Amino acid sequence: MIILQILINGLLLGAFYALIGIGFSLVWGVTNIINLSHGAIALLGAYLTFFLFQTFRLDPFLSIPVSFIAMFSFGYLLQRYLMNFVVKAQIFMLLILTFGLEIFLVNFMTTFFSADFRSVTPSYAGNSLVLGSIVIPYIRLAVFSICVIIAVAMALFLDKTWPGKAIKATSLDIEASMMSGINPAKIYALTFALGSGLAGVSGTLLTLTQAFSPSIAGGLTLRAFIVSILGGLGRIEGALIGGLLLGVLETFSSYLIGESYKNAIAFGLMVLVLIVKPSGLMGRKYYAEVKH
Amino acid sequence: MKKKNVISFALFIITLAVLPHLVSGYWQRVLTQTFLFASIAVGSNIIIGYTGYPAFGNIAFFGVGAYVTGVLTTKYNMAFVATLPFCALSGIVLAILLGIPILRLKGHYFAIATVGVMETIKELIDNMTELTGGGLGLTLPIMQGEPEHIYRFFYYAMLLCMLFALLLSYVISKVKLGYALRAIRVDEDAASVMGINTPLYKTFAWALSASAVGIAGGIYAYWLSYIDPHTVFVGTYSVKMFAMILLGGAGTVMGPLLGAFTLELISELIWSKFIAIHGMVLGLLIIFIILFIPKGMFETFKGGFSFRKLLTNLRENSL
Amino acid sequence: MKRVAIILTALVFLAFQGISHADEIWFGAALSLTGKLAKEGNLVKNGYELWKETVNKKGGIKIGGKNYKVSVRYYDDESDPNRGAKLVEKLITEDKIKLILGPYGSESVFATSAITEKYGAIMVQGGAAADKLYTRGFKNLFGIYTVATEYMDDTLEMLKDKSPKPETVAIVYSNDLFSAQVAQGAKASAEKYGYKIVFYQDYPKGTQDLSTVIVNIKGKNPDIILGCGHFQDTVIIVKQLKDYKVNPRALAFSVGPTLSDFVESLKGDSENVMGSAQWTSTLKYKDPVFGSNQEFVKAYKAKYNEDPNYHSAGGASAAVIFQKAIEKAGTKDDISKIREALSGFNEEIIYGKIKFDKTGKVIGKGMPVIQIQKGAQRTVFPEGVAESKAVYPKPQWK
Repeated sequence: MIILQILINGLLLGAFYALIGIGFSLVWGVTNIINLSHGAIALLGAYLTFFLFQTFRLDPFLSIPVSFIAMFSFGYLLQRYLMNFVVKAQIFMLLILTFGLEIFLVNFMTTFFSADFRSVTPSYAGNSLVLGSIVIPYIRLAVFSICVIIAVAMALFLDKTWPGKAIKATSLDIEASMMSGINPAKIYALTFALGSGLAGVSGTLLTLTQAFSPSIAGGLTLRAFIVSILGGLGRIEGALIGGLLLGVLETFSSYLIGESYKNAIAFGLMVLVLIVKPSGLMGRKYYAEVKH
Repeated sequence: MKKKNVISFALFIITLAVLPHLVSGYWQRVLTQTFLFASIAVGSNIIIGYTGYPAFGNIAFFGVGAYVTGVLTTKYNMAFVATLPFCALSGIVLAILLGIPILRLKGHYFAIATVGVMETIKELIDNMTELTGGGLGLTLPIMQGEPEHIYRFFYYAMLLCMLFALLLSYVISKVKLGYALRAIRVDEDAASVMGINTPLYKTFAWALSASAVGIAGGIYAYWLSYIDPHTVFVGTYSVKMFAMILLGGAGTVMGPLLGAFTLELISELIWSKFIAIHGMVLGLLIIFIILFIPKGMFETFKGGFSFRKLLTNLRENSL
Repeated sequence: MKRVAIILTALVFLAFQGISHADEIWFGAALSLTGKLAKEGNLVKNGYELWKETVNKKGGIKIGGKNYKVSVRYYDDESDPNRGAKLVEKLITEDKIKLILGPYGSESVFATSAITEKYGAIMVQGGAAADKLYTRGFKNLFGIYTVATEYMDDTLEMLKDKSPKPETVAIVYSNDLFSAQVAQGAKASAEKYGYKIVFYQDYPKGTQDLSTVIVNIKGKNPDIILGCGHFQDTVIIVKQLKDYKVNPRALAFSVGPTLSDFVESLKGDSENVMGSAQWTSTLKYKDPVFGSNQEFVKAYKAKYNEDPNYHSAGGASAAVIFQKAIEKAGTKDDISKIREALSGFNEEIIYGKIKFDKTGKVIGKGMPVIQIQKGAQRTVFPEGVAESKAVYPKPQWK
C-alpha cells in the first residue's frame, strides 16, 4: 500500500514539475533559447499571487489567469525588446544573457520584496481525500489537474490554432515559415510569452505547496532542465511525461535509497539520457533538433 | 608575440609581483580573488573559446580540485603544495572520463550535460559524509605564520596558477593542437574530414582546461580553509567566468585575463558604491556585455570607441 | 594593456585611504545586507544600530574617564563568506579597526573569525551557533548563541515530564553544517532523556518536497517529531504533515516558529508548534545599556516599527558585551586586555546571564522553548520565564 502512496505522491509532485518544464521546453524547442531566468519569472508569478492574496484575499487558484496574463506580457516584451537582439548570435550568448537577466530579477525581488520566505495558506489547506490508507491532499490534486489541463490545452493550441501552427512551423524551418508570411520575430515573442505565462502559473501553484523566496529561482530552473531533457524538447506531451517521471523518480529514490540522494539521482539520470538519447526519452527529431 | 606586447606583458607581471609590498591586505585579497577568476577563465577558455564547446559546468573541476586538496590535507595529512598535482590530475582524469561520452554532444546539449555533471558531483560529495564531511563541510588545516606572510603566500600561489593557465593557453594556441581546436570550432565535420581526430583533440583540450581549473580549486580550498559543497560548486562562478571570457574576447590568449581583471575590479567598485542594488547592477552589466560587446571590448573597440560599434552586434544578430 | 595599467594605478591609490579616529571608537561589521541571508543580516544590523544610538545618547563608551562616541563601519558581504572574509580584512588593514562585530550565519562567522584571529583583532558575535566555531583553538572569538548541539535539549527535557509520556522521537534534518549539528545534538539529548529514536534521516538543503519522508514517518507513528532545518523546510514539513494527517503529540523545530513569518505563512496550521529560541521578547532580564529586556523591546519598536526577534537582540547583546568588556579593560586598543575582560565576563544582559568558556562560547544560557498559541509566540519553558503552559498533547489536525 505504501508503494501506491509513494507513486501517487510522485505523480502529484511530478505534475507541478511538468508545468515548470512545459514553458521552458517550449521556448527551448522553438526559439533555441535556454531561458535561465525561467525560475525567476515563475517567482514573479508567485509574488504576484502572494500579494494579491495578502491585499485582496484573492484565492490563489483565482489568480492563475492574472499571473498568466502578467507574465505573458512580460515575456513578450522581454523577447521583443531584449532577447530578439541577439537571437542569431552564438547559443551561449543567449545563455549568459538570460543568466544576467536571472541575476537581475532575483536581486530585484530581493530588494523590493525582501529575502523572506513566503507561503500562501488558504483556509482549506491541508484537507485531504482519504481512501483507506491512501491520502491524497486536495490542493495537490487540484494542482495536478490544473497542470494536466494546461498541458492538454497547450497541445491543442499548438495543433489546432493558427498561431500554434505558426509556432510549430517556425520551429521546424524558419526560412520556409518566413516565405509563407510568418514574422518570426513575432512568433518568437509569442512563444517566449507563452513560456513565461506558463512559468507564472507554475509560480502561482508553487505558493500553495511550498515556501518561496527569490533564492529558490535557480533550483526551479534546474528542475525545468531535467524535465525538458527527460521528456524531449518542445513537445508538450514530452514535458508532461518528463515531469511526472521526475516526480516519481524523486519519491521512489527517496523511499528506496534515501531522501538525500534524490537530487544526485535526478541529475545523474539527466546526464545519462543526454548521453544515450539526447532527443529525450519521448523525443523524436522534431523541434529545434538540428539547430546548434 | 610582438615585441611590444612582450614588454608590456612583462611589465604587467612585474607590477603584480611587486604589488603585495605596496598595497594593504584587503587589496591583496581582491587581487588574489581576481587571479582566481582569471585562472578559471583562462583555463576554461581552452574548451570554451578555442574549441567552441560551452562548458557551462566547468566549475565542477574547481569543486573537485577543492575537495581533492581538502580530503588529502585533512584525511591523509598531506602537505598543501603536494596536493596540487592531484588537483590537476583529478581534473584531467575526470575530463577524460566525461569527455568520451559528453563531448559527442553539441551546443546546448553539451552545456546542459556539464551542468548536470556538476550538480551530480556536488550532490554525491554532499552525501559522502565519511570522506568529505558532506553538508558539514571540511575544515582544512590553517596555515601557520604571520598574516602578512600568509597573504603573500596565497597571492603568489594564485598568481602562479594564473600564469600556469596563461602559459598552457599560449602554448596550445601555438602548437598543432590549437589549430586543430580552432578548426573544430569553425566546422567540426570539415575538421574531421581533413583528418583531425576530433574526439581525441576535444578530450585533450578539455583535460588541459580542467587541470588549470582544478589547481585553482585546490588553492582556493586552502585559502578559504573551510569548504562545503555549496561554496565550491557555485553556478554564479560559471556565469562570471563566461562573462569574463566574453568581455575580454573568447578564443584569444589574453582576452579572458583582461576580462577577469576588468569585471572583478568593476564589480569591486560597483559594490562599494551601490550596496543595496549591486546585484541588479551586475545583472545589467552582464546583459550589457552580451548585447553590445559580445566579441570582447578589445576587439570591439580596436581603433577607438564609438556608439556605432556598440550597435553593430544588435543589427547583426536580431531577427 | 594601457587600460589595465590605469586600473592598477587607481587601485594602488584607493588602497591608501583611511579613517580618522579622534574621540571616536570605531567598530566594524561585514554583514549580509543583500543575498540569501539579507533578512537576518539586516536584523542583526538593526540591533547594532539601536545599541549605537542608545550608547551615544548616554554620552558614549567610557574609557579611563573619557567618553568616546561609537561609530560602526558596515560592509555588505552579499551572503558570501569569502567576500565577508575579504571585507573584514579591509576593516582591519584599511580602516584600521580591530573591534569586529560578528556577521550573521555560521559560515560567515567561520570565515571572518579566521581573519580576525590572524590579525590579532577581536570579534564578538551574536549570529552563529555552529559548535565548529569553537573547536579551532581561537582566542579572539566570543559568541552568545547557544550552540547547535544544545538547541533541542530544553525542548526534550520539557517534554519528558508531560503526560501521556512521550516515548518515541522522529528527527529529520537538512544536510548542512548547522542543521546536522542540531540533529546530532538532538539525538544525543533524546538518548540522554530515555526516548526511543524511531526515525533519523537527512534531506537535501533547500528541498521542495518531503512527501516520502512524511509518509515514512507516518509509518513509525512517533510521539514527538523534531525538524532541524531552515524556515522553508519547516513550512513544507508542517504543510505536508497536515496533508498526510500525521499527528504527533508534539511538533518542534529548531528554526521557524521563532520567526514572525511563521504564523504569517502557515496561519492556523502553525498553532501549537514548538520552537527553540535563543531569546524571546518576554524574558525578564536586566541590561546595563537598555535597562531591561522590556525596555529594549520598547525602544526597538519605537525605532523600527516592528517587534524585535532573536537576530536583532543577538546583535544588540553582542555589542553590549563588547562595550562592557572595553569599559572594564579600560582601553580601546589593547586587544589582549579586552580579551581578558571578555573571558571573565559575567553579567546579566537582555540575552540572559552571560558567561564564556575557554573556547569563547556562551555557557549555561539554555534555549527557552516557545509555542505558537492563538497565533502568538508564548514562552512555555523553562518554568521561571514561562508565560503560559504548553499545550500537550498537540490536538489532531482538523
